[in-house]
Amino acid sequence: MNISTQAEIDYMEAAQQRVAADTRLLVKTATITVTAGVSVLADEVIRLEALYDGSTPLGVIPVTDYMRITTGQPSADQASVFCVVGRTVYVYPAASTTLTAYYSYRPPALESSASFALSGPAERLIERLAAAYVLMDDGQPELAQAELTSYATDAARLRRRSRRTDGRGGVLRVPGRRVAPR
Amino acid sequence: MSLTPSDILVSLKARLAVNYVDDALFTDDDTLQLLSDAYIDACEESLCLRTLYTLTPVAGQAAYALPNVSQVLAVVSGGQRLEPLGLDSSFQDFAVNGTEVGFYVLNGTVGLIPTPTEATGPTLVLYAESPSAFSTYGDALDPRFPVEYADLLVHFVRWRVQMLAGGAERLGAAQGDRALYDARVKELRRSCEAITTEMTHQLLHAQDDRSWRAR
Repeated sequence: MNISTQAEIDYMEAAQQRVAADTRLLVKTATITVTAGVSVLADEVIRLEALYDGSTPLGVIPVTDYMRITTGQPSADQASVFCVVGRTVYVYPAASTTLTAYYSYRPPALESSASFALSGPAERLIERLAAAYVLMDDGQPELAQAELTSYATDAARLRRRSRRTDGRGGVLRVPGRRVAPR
Repeated sequence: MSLTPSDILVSLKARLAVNYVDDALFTDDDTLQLLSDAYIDACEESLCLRTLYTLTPVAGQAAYALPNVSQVLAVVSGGQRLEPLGLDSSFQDFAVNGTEVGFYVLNGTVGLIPTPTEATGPTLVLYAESPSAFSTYGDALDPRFPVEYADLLVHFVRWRVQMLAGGAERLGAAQGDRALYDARVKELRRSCEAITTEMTHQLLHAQDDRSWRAR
């Protein structure tokens, strides 16, 4: 990577982090440790997509439902469920165990001697976004805004394309029925 | 030697100094204060610093302190969600055998209505915190504030310095930065709510596909 100044790497780092979060292209699985039903997510986690106990997926519930279950009298056959508040995962029933988390993550901080964690169209998005930041700081807000608007469109497009190719997207699901895309 | 990114507040200050924050008019402390104002405003408006707090009702005690509270989002006791009521409602006579029916928020405390008459099981409070102001440029952002949204701090500060500098020619640019700040705070708020609510039903993918459906 041809970066020679501190300002350049700061712009590129800010752009890379935003592209990674807006596209959520970087995904992985990892084991998390749950202690008494609570686990703190690593800083790299952008969004927790799923949680598994072995091969069994845990259901996701709203935080208020978790609060009702925990303070009330849940049914005896209450399945294992979880919710996320801030960067903390709450699992019910409360137990100490290890679970497998599937999540999108932030790349490590850039180094000028290394390459971007994202490649291809995402790497070009990083360069465009960094250029938009430079234009903004240089006192060219109209040009910067035009670049940011097209960035937002292309980032969303990249995210949708990624979800379609890995089987997670492409159809509109509503509870009770499945509607195929037109 | 390989270059690595600066601390987040140092990099934001460098960006502001390029063209907007004149060091003849604003000291480093002034800039840090403005960045703090932006950070606190963004956190409070977006409700991103969410926390789940357990309080144990005590017989005869109505009010319980909540650390760093900005907004209370939900209170649940005995499996029931409590209604948000005004402080004046605490003076009413709720003859429900001491079971809490509602809550009020006053000066950093949450009050249970009616006042508990006996020690009961835990009550959970979901609320958004307000962050502390920055004290140095080495301070880190709260982990619950996504680092990719740090650019909104720059827009807020630019809006403020342009308004403080004055001049009709700056008004348009200032409003532009203000609009960008507001838009990013809205995105941050939606992002936080998506994590807690979007995952609960199968419209998760449709949320991403919203603009696709519009085509």
